[in-house]
Amino acid sequence: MKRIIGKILVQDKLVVNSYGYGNYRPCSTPYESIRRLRDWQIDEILILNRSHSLDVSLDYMNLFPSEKHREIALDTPITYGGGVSRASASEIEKLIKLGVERLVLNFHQFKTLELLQDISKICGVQSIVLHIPYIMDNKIAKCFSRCSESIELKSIARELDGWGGEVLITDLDNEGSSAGIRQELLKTADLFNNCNVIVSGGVSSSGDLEKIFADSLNISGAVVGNFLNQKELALSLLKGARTMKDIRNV
Amino acid sequence: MKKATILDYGIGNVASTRLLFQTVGYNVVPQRDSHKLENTDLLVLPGVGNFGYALSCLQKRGLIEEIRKLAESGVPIFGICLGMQILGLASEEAKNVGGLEIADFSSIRLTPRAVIGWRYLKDFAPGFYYHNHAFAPKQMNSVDFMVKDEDDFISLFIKNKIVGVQFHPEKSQDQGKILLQQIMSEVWKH
Repeated sequence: MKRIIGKILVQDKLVVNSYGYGNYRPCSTPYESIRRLRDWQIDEILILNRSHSLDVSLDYMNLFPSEKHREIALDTPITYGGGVSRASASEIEKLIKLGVERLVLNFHQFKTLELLQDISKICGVQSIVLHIPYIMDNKIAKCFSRCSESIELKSIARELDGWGGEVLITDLDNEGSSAGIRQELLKTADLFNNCNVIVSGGVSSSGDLEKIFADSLNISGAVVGNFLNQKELALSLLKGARTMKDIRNV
Repeated sequence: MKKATILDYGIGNVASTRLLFQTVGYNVVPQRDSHKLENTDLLVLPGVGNFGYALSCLQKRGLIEEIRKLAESGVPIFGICLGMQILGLASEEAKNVGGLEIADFSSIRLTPRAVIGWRYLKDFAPGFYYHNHAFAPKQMNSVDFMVKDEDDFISLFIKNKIVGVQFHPEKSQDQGKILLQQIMSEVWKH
């Protein structure tokens, strides 16, 4: 089954709409956003916390006003990012105990397969999502970083061949826009033949999902962010208009 | 009310598992001390983690022999995902590490990639369940009940009072509760 993944981007304990990971507009609280997505029976929730410290488990707990409120996230698959790349083994253990199923690591902190394998020896390879934001540079998809030289996605895909985890590829130029999914993003997913691939950036209609989940493409999940924050019953709209059979309809 | 002990062995989704068992009516006690495992009606081994890491955590806490003793004394044991895999003999995830040897299977690597997402289970409490695993067992002898997935891997088994589920009922929203109630009603019949 393909997954529709609701993204919740958090800054200073508030959910924000994001535009290219550069401009942010507050729109909700984590509890309210998770409650809404969970009630709509979203397949998975991706929480990206921009306000993080080395104490990642405390950062996660602080998203909720109380332990009772945290229960809202316990029976739905939660993928969490925000400082995880630098977290200690004991912090990773704590996050998992709190109900986080999978962890997002940023590619630039985990460039080599050896480092990825080290962390998978704690949480298992299936619990790691490697986030690769990219930009188009002279028609070549390059992994974007503010602090180091960009790397071609093609060479990253070669390096990760046989790793076994999942990658999240974000079209940074289109992130947060309602312009629809771009063909370049779908092409980049094809580079990663031996990984599960999630794509992110620009999803705003059921037509986008049709393109993403076409049988010919190696894509297991689509991230939807601003669209779900901005429109009431947006998930129903995304699913309801679909004719594909490989989406969970409950 | 029956008492379910959730084993907090260092890794594993303790909070979600606790909520699931509480919701279906168990008195749930998370426990990490080996000498406090007695006097429970049910032992639950939560999932999420690496096979080798889980076994080293159990070893450090002196829990391996205690779990085996509970199994021998007939206390039901419920393993979820990794919690199910460690009940077996071994796993390709950590080749030099042995399992608890309570069930006679070994877990092998799924190729070319992990199973992540929702799958429909049709033979027992039909519905969608959340899966997240890169290793799983394929063969097991003399079980009372077994369900296999679309790739012929074991999804669920019941053997005497030992239960294993490869997927995550605690992350499967309302469907997980339906499944748990159905499984446990089978277990308490024994």
